[in-house]
Amino acid sequence: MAWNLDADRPIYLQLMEKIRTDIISGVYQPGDKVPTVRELAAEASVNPNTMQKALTELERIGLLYSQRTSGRFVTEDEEMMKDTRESIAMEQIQSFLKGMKQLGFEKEEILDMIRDMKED
Amino acid sequence: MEYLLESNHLCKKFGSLMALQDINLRITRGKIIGLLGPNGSGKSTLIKIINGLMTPSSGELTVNGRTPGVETKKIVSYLPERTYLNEWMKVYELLDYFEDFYEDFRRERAEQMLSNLRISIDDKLKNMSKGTKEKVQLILVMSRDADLYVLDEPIGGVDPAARDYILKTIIGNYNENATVLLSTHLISDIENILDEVIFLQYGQIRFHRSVDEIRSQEGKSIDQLFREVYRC
Amino acid sequence: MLGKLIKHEWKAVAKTLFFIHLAIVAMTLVGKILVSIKAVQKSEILTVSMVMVYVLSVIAVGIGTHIYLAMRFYKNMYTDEGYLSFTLPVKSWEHIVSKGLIAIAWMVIDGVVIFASIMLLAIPKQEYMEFVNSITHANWEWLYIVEVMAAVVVGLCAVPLTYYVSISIGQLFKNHKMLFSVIVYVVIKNVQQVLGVVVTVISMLPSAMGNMDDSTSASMTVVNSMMGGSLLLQLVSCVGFFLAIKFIMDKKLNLN
Repeated sequence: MAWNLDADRPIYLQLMEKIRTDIISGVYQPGDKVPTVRELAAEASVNPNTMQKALTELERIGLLYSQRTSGRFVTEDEEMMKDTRESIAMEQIQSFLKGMKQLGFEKEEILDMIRDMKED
Repeated sequence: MEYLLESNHLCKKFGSLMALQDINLRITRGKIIGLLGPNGSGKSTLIKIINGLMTPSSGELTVNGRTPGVETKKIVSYLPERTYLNEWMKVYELLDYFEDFYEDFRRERAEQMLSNLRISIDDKLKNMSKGTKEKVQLILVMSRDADLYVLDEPIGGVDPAARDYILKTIIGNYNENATVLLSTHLISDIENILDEVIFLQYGQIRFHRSVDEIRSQEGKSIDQLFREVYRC
Repeated sequence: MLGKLIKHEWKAVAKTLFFIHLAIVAMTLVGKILVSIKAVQKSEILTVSMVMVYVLSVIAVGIGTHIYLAMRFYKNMYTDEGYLSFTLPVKSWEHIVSKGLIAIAWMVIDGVVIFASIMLLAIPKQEYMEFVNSITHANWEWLYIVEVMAAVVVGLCAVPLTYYVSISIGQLFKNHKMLFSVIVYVVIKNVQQVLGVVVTVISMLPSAMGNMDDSTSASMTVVNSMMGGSLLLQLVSCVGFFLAIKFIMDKKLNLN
C-alpha cells in the first residue's frame, strides 16, 4: 500500500482519493473498521491533521461514518458504493481522454483501439 | 486566543547586523510547522531566542505566555543541529540524566524506540556512528511530553531509512496539545507532514501560511515555492 | 535541581580525578617501600631524585586537577554541550554553584590526600601526633579562628570563580578564546596582587600610627587587619566574579 503523493496538490485531497480507491477496490469491505488517524498518518507519512481532514471529508460525503467510541467504519450503503465507483471510473476516463485528445486521437479511434486490444 | 508561542516586534542585532527584524509570530498548539529559509535568514537566531540561549535586542517573545527561562525550558524540548551530549556517557546514563532533569521525560518510550533501532543502552556515544548519535538525540528529545518541540535540521545527513523513521516518530508523537517546529532546508522530504510553513528571509518573516492553502492556491509544492521565493 | 546538578557534576569528573589522585597514593606506597630499603637510604642521589620526582608529581596532580576542572567548565558551558546545559530547566547560578562546589570538594580532597601522603612518607608517627596535638590544644583566640575559617572558605571559593570568570570573559571573543581567558586570568591575578598590597598597607596604617606599647598585641592587630583586609578583598572579588559570570551567561551567551 504505497502512498504516492504529489507535491503540488493539497495532500488531503490525494489521501481522500487513495482511501476511496481502497474502499472501492475491496481493500476495505463495507462495514470494515478503518484504522485510526494516527495509524493511517504514520503509514502515509503525513501530518495527522491532514489525514483527519481527509477522513472528515469522506465522512461528510458519506463513504465513512463514525461511531463515537468505536471509531470509523466504511459505509454499507450499496447505492453510495455504486455511485462512488462510477465517479472514480468517470474521473479516470476523463483524465485518460484528455491525455489522448492532447495526442490528437479522436473518440472513434480510441474506441477502436480499445476494442482491438487483447484481454489481459 | 492564547498562543503557544508569540512574538511581538522581536529584533536581534549583532553590532550593526540585524539578524532578526520585527518578527511577529503567532503559533498555535497541535501543529507541525516548518521554519524555512536559507543560511543567514535568522532561523538559528530565532531558535536560540525561543530556547533562552539568547536574549532579544528589543521586542518580546513568549512561550505559553512566559519569557524564555526555567519555566519555558520545562515545556520546550530542543534538538539542536549538533551533538550536544557528553560523548563519554553511555546511553542509559543519558536516560538517567534526562529523567532527572525533565519531569515530562517518558523513559519507557525512549527505551522502546532505542530497542526498535537496536541501539544498546550500554553503548557509549563516542563509539557510535554520526547517524546513530543523531537518532539517540532525537529519541531523547521526542520522548519528552513537551508542549513545544523545536527540531533543528532533524533529518540532515541521515540515510533515507533513518529519515523515514524520524518522520514517522514525529508523526507518531503528535498530539493536539503540542506543536513541532521543524527547521530544515530538506523541504521536499518533509513537506508532506507540515501543517504550516514560515518563510524567513534576511531576518524577516516573508510569510506564514498553511501548506494546503499554498498548494491549492499556487498549485505548487512548498519546495517549488521555496526555490522561487529565494531565487532572487 | 541544584542537588541533581551537583550529583551529575560529581559523576562526570569523579572517575578521572580519582585515577589522577590514585597516582599519588601509588607513589606514596612506592616511596614508603623504597625508603625502607637500606641501599636507597645510603645513596643521597637516589633519595634526592626520589623526593624530586615525588614533589613534581604532586605538583602535577594539583595543577592537573585545576586545569581539568577549568576545561570541564568551558566544555560543558560554552561549547556544544552548552546547548544542553543552558536548555535544562535550571537557573544559571545553579550551574555556577554546582560546578564550583565540586571544584572546591576536589581541592579539599587534593589537599587532604597530599597532606596525608606527606605525613605518611616523611614524618614518623610520634612527631605527627605531637603536631596534631599542638594544633588542637593551642590557645586560640575566637576571633582569630573565625577569621581563619572565613579566609579558608572564601579563599576556596575564589579559586574556581576566578577560573570561571576568566573563561566566561574569554569566550566572549570570537577567536582565540583560550588565549583571552588566560590573559584575563593573569590580569585579574595581578590586579588582585596590587590591590592586596594597597589594602595591606592601608590596614596597617592605623596600628602603625597608634600605640606600639605591647608588641605582641600590636602584631596580632596588624595580622588581624591584614587578614581582614585581604579577606574583604577576596570576598568582594568572589561576589563580583559570581555576578559577572551570571551576567555573561544570562545576557551575553552566544553559543556556536
